[in-house]
Amino acid sequence: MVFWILVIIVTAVACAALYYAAMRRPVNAAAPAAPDATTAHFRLQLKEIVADSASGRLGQAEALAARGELARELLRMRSEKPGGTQEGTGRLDRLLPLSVLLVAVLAFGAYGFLGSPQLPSLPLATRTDPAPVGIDLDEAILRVEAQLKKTPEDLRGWTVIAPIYKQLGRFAAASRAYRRIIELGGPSAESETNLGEALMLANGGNAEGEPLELFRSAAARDQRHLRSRYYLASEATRLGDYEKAVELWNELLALAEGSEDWVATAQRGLSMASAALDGDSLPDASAIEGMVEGLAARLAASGGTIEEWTRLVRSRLVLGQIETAQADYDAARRAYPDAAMRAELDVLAADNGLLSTEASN
Amino acid sequence: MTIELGHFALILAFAIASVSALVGLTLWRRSDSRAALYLQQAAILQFLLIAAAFAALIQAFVTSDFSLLLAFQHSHSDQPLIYRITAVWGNHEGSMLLWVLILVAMGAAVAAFGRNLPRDLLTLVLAFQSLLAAAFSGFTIFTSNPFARLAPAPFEGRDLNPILQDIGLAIHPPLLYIGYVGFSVCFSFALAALISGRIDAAWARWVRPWTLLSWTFLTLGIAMGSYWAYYELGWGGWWFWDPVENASFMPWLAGTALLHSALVMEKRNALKIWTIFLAIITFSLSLLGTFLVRSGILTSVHTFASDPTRGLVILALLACFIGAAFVLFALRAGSLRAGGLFAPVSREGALILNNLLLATATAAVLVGTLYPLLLDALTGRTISVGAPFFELTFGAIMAPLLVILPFGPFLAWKRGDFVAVAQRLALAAGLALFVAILFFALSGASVSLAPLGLLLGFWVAFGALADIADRARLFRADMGTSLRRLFGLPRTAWATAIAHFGIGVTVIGIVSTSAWESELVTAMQPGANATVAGYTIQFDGIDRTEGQNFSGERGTFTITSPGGGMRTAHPERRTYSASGMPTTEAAIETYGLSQLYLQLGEPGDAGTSVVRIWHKPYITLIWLGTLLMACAGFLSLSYRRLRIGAPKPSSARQEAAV
Repeated sequence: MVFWILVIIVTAVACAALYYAAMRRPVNAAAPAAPDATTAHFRLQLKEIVADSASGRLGQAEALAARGELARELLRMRSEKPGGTQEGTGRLDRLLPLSVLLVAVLAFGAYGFLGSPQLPSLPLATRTDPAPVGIDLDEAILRVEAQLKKTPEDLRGWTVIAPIYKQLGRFAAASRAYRRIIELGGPSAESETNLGEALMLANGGNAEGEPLELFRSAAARDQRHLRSRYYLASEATRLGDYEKAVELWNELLALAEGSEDWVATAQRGLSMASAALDGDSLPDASAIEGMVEGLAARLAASGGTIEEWTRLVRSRLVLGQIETAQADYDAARRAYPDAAMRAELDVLAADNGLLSTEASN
Repeated sequence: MTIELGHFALILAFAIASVSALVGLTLWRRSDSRAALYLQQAAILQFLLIAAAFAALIQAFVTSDFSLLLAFQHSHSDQPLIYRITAVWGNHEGSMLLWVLILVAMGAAVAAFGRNLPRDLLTLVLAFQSLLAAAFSGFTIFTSNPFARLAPAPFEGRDLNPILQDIGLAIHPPLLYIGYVGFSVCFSFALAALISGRIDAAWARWVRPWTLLSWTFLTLGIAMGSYWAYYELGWGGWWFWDPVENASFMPWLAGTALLHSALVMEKRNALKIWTIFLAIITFSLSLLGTFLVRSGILTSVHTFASDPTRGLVILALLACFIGAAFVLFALRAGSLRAGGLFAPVSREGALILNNLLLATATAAVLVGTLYPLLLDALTGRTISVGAPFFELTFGAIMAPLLVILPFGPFLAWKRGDFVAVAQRLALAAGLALFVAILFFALSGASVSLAPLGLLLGFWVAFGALADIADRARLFRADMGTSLRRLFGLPRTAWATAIAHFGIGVTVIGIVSTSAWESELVTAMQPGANATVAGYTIQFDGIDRTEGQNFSGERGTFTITSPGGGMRTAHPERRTYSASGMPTTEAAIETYGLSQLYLQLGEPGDAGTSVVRIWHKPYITLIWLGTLLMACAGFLSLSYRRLRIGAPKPSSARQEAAV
């Protein structure tokens, strides 16, 4: 409202200034305006010549020539002068109110068309609503999901979102996404293992049933596929099928090229399974150890949530395996470089004297 | 609210300009002093309103109000205050508003100082100024509105182009625009003269200050632009024959001719058709420059991101104004009386030759600038017309101009005596020859055109001194009389001599820089040395530097001059945080009149940096010369007495018959 009042005042002042400027009678209305200026110019020139010749800057002969020229010019001007311009005032009187009105109409019309009077100024200093900077993960997921609803055939979209689901612990959604990837892109050792893993995690770590089938299928599909063999060996160990387990661990270790991360875990699995097979008395602890080894194997192979890593390190500490606990802690820190996410793990590690100085990224 | 008030003020100014142009063009013939009063008031109102709009724009930029689209696109809250202000015209829309602001300021100045003009002439001139203001403010409002808003407003802007974040942006465009747009007054005067038929010495007297003012500012604007390009773009060049540079140079050449032509007309009532023609041409070339920058048909540092619609609209405006002016000229020029008569060898004759040569030089630059564009538009073939073309054609035309330049001020009006003038200039010529040879011998001789160029430069400079000496009767009268005469000389005589001397100085600077420049491009390890033109440059190392809105690397170099003095120079390589754009900041050390130019290039392998070093002998003379020319312009402007070109009396009696 204030804005419109100001705008109207400005327009009114401008229009009034225009109107009254032209309504003012000239001070000396009778004097003919036009010819005067030119004659005045000649008069000035003449004065200049007189002054110059008086001061000696102009020779006598030159001054005479200049005056002669001036006189001829003036005479010519006089003879050529048109018979006076007509002094009409009627047109302006009629035009004046119309022109002022036109100014106002034009201005308000164009502004109404182009302006945004409802928008306030927003200088930075007065603003308190910093727009969120960066991308919100939940929002990004919602966007991808909305997009995938529209284009469910988009293999790339599913490939992007599936590992994110797994990372966030949404295993059911992750299995759906991995299943879709197999449907769209055809089965491969990798995709079947991914799906099996997601299903197993959704089922609280139990690989019985479909996951096991998938791991077998993946291992059969690719003779050198590691992760599926890992799971098969761990599952055999967990179920107490030591003969099968030894066979599977050996098969897996044969694929090792050197000292990959998982090799140590696989060797522990092998030694435990073969010890059990040799009929050594199997302490109660070994069943627990088997489960811990299975978890360690899975985490080393394909990662997991920070809670799982914490569980693993805690189990190692309970079992008194300080060295492996340290190794697993280092691996966990590599998997989760962001200290904020592994607060619980760090506290656990610190309480039990594990070192966090080495290579903490 | 201020933004919207500014927007409204701009639109109101557009409405007033449109209506007053109509009123003026309808009523001028009636010689009604009230029509003139109406237009004077309208001109002043346009200025006040556009100034208010511009202030609103500046306020939005200064307070980082990103609800203004333009501020969002071209500013950032981290920019230092000065660059938040200059960012207003560091883009198409804002610079267009600056253009219009200067246009209406000129109109208001005519209205304020033009009270002694004949009513009909004043009405017509103001009507044409209003027409221009209406056309260009309309163009601004409807195709490139600087007041477009953004809702919701983003929290941060996109930053001004880092190359423009420099004090040069505060100086170069306003100066250049005053020059460009100032010629609009001459254009309006020319059209008014053609329509009203009033073209006489009095007319020239009113036009001359506007010509001088515009020419002076254009000179400063071009010189500043050249120096800015020299230190900011990092290539050590001071003139690139870039189409946009040419676009500012052409009005300067035509404006120089106009200046001299208006001079003859004021003093001698001659060269009327020339003056009118040059006034139209000069402003047309200014408009052409505006068009080239904003149409998007060029790619250079000057071009603004723009869409083809704008280009078409501005081309249409250009065609209307220039076309109408030339049609008017064709219809009315025949009826203009030729004015004062003169012999071929006379001051007038020399100035006509000057006009012809300047016009030809303008045409050469115009062809070189537009031919590749037209060829590209018509056949799709891309050719490049570069520096060699311009140097050859432009040089070939300027050389004779420089040769005859010192003769001009010596020749008498109406009829001159060439032999007598040549005798009076013999000393200056001999001196120029001597100094040029001396200079050349000392600088190490090689076969080139350089000595001829130097000779021309010294000839023009000494010729200007000779002019002053001759007027003071130095060595011909006793010392006291000479001194008295020297101080009694009209300021315009001094202005002429200083401006011509400035030309000579600039020519000397151009020739010596081009001939004796040395350049070294090398990869340097910290601790390494390089030698250029006797200067030893030691690379001490690189460290990080942080500015308000950039971070970068700063090299440290120790320069030992041939005289043994030590200085430290810091060229930089910056990355601006908001846009992520890299720039280089050259380090320039001035030794006397010469400069050493250091640029830090890309880092190479193993801690080396590519360093470019130039030694530019006497390069500052180029800009010192232009400053002298501008000083001369202001000096001449300050002299408001009437000038008479007294003719040399003829010994014969035929004159009476004329």
